[in-house]
Amino acid sequence: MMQLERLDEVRWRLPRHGAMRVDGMIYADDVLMTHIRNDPCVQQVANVATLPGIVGHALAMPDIHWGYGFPIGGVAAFDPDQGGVVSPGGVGYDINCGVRLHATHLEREHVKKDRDRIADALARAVPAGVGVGKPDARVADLDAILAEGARGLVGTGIVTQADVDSIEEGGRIPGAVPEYVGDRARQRGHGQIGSLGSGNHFLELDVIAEVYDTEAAARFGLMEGGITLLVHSGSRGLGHQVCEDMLGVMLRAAAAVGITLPDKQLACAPLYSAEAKRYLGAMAAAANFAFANRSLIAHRALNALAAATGRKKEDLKARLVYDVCHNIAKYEEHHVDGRPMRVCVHRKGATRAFGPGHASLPANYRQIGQPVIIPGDMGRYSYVLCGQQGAMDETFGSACHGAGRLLARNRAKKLASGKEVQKRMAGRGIALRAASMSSVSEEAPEAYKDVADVVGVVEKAGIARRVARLEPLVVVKG
Amino acid sequence: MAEVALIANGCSREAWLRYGADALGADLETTEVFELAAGGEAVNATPRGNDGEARLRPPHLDRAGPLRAYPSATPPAASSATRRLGASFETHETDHTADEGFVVTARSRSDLLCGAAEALAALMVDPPSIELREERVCGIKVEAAELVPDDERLFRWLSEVLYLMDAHRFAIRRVVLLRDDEDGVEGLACGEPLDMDRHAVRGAIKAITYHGMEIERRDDGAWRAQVVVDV
Repeated sequence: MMQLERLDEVRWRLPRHGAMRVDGMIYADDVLMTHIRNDPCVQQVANVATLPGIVGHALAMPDIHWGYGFPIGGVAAFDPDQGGVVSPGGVGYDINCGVRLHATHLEREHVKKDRDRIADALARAVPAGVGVGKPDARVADLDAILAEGARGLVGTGIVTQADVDSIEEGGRIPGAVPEYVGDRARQRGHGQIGSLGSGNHFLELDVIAEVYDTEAAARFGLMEGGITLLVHSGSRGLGHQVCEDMLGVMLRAAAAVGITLPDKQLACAPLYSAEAKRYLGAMAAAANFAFANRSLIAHRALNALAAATGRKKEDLKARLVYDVCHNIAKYEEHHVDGRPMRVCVHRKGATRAFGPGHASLPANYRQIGQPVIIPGDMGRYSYVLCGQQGAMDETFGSACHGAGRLLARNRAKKLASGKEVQKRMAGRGIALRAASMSSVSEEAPEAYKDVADVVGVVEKAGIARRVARLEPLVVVKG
Repeated sequence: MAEVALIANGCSREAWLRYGADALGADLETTEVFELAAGGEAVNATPRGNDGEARLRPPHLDRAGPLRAYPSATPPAASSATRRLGASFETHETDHTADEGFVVTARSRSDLLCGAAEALAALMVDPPSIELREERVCGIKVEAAELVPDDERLFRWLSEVLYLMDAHRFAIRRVVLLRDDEDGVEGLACGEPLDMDRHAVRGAIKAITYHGMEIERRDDGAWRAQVVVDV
């Protein structure tokens, strides 16, 4: 077991040892540390710290758990001028898996009484599960989507100009090179746009159960008792294939420059290499696909919600609160040891959480800080937070991204069948629909940690502050 | 007496028999095989299946064309208890929190690749729910000078099988290996287009990973591989 040194209530240092180039830093309280301490994810934090050009700490958010290469909940930044690298393992297979939150003018009672009918309507409107989605002529130009992301859909009726201001990077990660997305990836992605996928992806209607910060909530358009739409999905088969295609390339690139990898899934290449440019270009294109995917999912869901509640879509007064990546690597300006530096920040199962005053935030959020959306399990609650200065000082502007798995999928499946989970959810007043009942049992609330614990840690650490808590009424799973 | 015609272009006798017997719903454990012509071109076998005797007729079919012959429109009532000749596999449960994987053991590397492909397919759709209606050619090419270690071969082959399932929505129940040599791996994936209403879909598979990937030839000559996939 690795030696962890406790710094305060929520900070644990993993001192540099062996081939580690920097210390690791894990954010957790006593409860979460009981899960983390004996998990291989701590070794993964140490592994990340061995990669060339890493600056600051190899960071782990309180929802950290084992992942391929990097732990999920891992954040690391690399300086290109110190031999820094980019690693597909630091982004994950589902490039720009992320969340998107819309506020509406609907209230609890509008949804609660009709929740089963609304759930059916949403499940019909948004393809979920294994396989393709429903084609939409407005998103037929794949190259435009890869290059422009959600921004390429402005004017189609799917995305407005106001929307793109509320998406990380304006809905388009710069530097995308569509030609770097191979035929296989295109084939897998083609037709999947506007679909949820499976696993932990979902869409939800939540009620805003509690507001902690009235001013910030008002800025974000969130009022107690109001209904929100929450979407969790990514770049579908297209992104998975980009990652898979690049792993072999990155393994060879790492070997060519003599990088010793403690884990093959940490395959990487120096940021100035041709291989890194190729990966970053393809990754940005896949990330843009994901922004467009979430936009179309939300568009479909809001249309269905309006119809099911007997309203015109405009009458929902739906407003995009924010859309943010959970799996991404990109260049950002940060301070390292007091010096401004352009670094490649990897967030794998972590959310960007820029603090107040950051120039990249839309004007109406700038004083408050970036909205940080942290989904919990499907039976309990999710949180909206706002980024704090602590994130800028310590975590390259990053926070946790969810509750974090507690039980392996196979173990969760043994606890209860999908049908049983659905029944239990219904007992709690939540209408659940799913493309696959087996994935429902894997996603049972008990399979996850309590997201309130996770959120409590980032708040205590000064990384992000709670704004509101959301509770599910309707859940659609892949 | 049922007859089945199968493609036998270069596929192993074991693979051919397994495929044929499965199509007939025969149990290979009680199958008696006789008369095997050289090169696997003509095989006559007498499997004594659940319903007595059946004859397997070796075929010659154009590989590019559709598979013409199955014994009837009724799919075989195969179950996981059906003994597999050559490749055998089991689903391997891991301690990790976000993955699924499997272990395959087989007599040869070719059978190992075949079994791994079937195990991968079984993670997406429960095999007994898939009918053997169509087949698709699936393969990887290896460049002349390229040195591809066994783990890389397995990784690339499974990626190709996954691509076929995900991009083409093809549910695979059986895989027959046609080639496994210095030029690459090629196989026939047998099954049918994915049908969400009829197939017992377990879930999507995002990707094959290098995590924990192992492939080895043991001292007794048998092959064993371990694969973890991201779901």
